[in-house]
Formats: sequence, C-alpha cells, structure tokens
Amino acid sequence: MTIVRLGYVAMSMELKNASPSKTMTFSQFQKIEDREAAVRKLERISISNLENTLRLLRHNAASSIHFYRLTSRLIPLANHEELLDWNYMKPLKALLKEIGDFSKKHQMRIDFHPDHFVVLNSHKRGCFEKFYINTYNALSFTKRNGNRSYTPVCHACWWQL
Amino acid sequence: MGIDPTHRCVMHVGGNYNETEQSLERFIENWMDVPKSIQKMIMLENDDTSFNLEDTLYLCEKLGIPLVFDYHHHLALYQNPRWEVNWERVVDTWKYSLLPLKIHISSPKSEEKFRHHADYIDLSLFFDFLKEVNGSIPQIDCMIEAKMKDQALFQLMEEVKQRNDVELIDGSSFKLL
Repeated sequence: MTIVRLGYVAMSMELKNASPSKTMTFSQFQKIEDREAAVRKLERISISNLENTLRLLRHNAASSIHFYRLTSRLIPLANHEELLDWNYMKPLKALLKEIGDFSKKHQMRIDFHPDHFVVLNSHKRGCFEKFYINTYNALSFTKRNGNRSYTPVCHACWWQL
Repeated sequence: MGIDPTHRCVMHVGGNYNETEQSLERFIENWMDVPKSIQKMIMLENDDTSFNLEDTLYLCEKLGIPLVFDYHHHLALYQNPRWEVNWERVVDTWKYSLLPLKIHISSPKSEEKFRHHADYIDLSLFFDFLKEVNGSIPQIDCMIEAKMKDQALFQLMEEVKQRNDVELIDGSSFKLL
C-alpha cells in the first residue's frame, strides 16, 4: 500500500574526494592579508562544494535515489556579518541553476537542515536576528537600517533563481 | 535553482531553557517576526532532549507547519511512548504540502550511547515503525541519518529485498504490502 522512499544526508561513502562541506573559518579568513584573495579563496571553496553536490546528485541518479539532504555547509561564511559586502551568489549562480535543473529533471526531492544553533525561540530578540546572519545562508535575513524590517538575503536566490 | 522553496528546511524547535511551556510560547511570538517567505520554507522536527512529539505537534498545528517525525528522537524522549496514537495528527500537518510526508530514521548506537546515530539502520526497528503507518498515506519519504550515509541506504535496501511483505520499486523505493 504505502510507498516508502529512502534518502540520505550530505555525503557519499562511495564517491571519493567529493566532499560538499569543505570550509574556511573566519579566523582563517582573517589570517589572509589580501582580503580580495581571501574572498576569492572562499569562492573557490564554495564552487568546489557545489560541484561536488552535483557529482553526488549524479551518483544518486545512477543509484536511483530520489531524496537527498544538502549539506548545511555549502557556502562558508556566507552572510557572516563581516562579509556582508561579498556578493557570493554571483559566481555560484550558474552552478546552482545546474543543481536545480538536474534535480528537477530526475525528479529528486532535495532539502536542508540548518545547524542546531539556528534557533527560533531564543530569549533575546537581537540575538535571534544575529543567529540568522551568522549561520545558515539559505535561511538568513538581516536587519536593515537598525529597524525591525527584515530583508531576506538569499533564500529566494537559492531556490527560485 | 528554480525550485519552489516551500517546506525545504527542517528545524528543531530550539532551546528549552528549562521551561517547555514558555519556550513554546516564545517560539510562537518570534514566529510572527519571521517573514512569510521564510516561514513557508520551514518544517519542524521533534527532538531528543527538549521538545517531544506532543510539544512539536502543538506548534505545528497552531502555526500550520509540517511535522517531520524523528522516530529515534521519540524513543529517547517522549510523553506517551505510543507515538502511533498521534500519527493521524502528524499526517494532518502535511495536508497543505505538495511534498510527501517525511520522517527521519536512525538507530541508537548502543544502550549507553542511545542518542548517537549508529553506522547503519536497524531493519526490525524500522519495520516496527512502517507496519504502523502502512496504509495511512500514499507515500512516505524516509531520510536516513546514519554514519555510513548512502552505504547505509544500500545495505538497508539489500535487507528489505529479503522480506516477503514488500514489493520492490527501484534502488531506493519499495511498496509495503
């Protein structure tokens, strides 16, 4: 009667060198003197993570797996409050589109699960806003001009673009 | 990606701060500040330390959020061990979603490390669950949270193949008889 469909999370034990979660911490970022170069490095890491995500989706298609959870660490430091000027979507647009097209073509269900420190019931309202900025980029919005109107940064970009 | 963002993001309720009721109410208050475009992306999951199935259902029903039932979390934290009495309510939280109901499946690593994820999925524990939900919905998507990732999926399918109460569909799907 009921159809059961299985999915798995983030990475494959079978594909080699296909981590979609390579990262860079803010302190590593700060250690690079040339900020431009540091940003380029972040972009290279993000591109590699997205390329590996695409490899994982191909592996899923070949194994007839239709359900997959994206890693929560695709784009390191996206929306970090010191990096709000970084337009990280620009170099990633084409790859994101490719990921979307591939998953649609193969009728895959993809979703994500932000790190546990993204919480919605925090005591401190200010803190709650900050959580968004510092954590998961697909679910973030920032406070504009110090008032309480939020600007979704990129949730639409990720999924709808 | 050109994908409808609705119900793509699973979250936990959050911190308990030793007061479940107030923490649930605070969730509702903060939810009102979350833009609609982000609200619609979210699904909520029962967790294993603070908010059990009943707590999470309370929010999901009140705010119209689909509930992702985590069976392993439920075994570690429950109000009523008989989750199946609430199953219809869980199904109902998905009635406005275009996506099939989803759950999380993982197995305890050991008695001592009950909350930790094991490498693979325990077939009989999984089927204890499936037997109860069979027939209640056309399709259920089960996200495997196991240390061995896709290998855990492949191994589980190998074991499912040996059963006579299922009909195989493909490498990751089967029908319960």
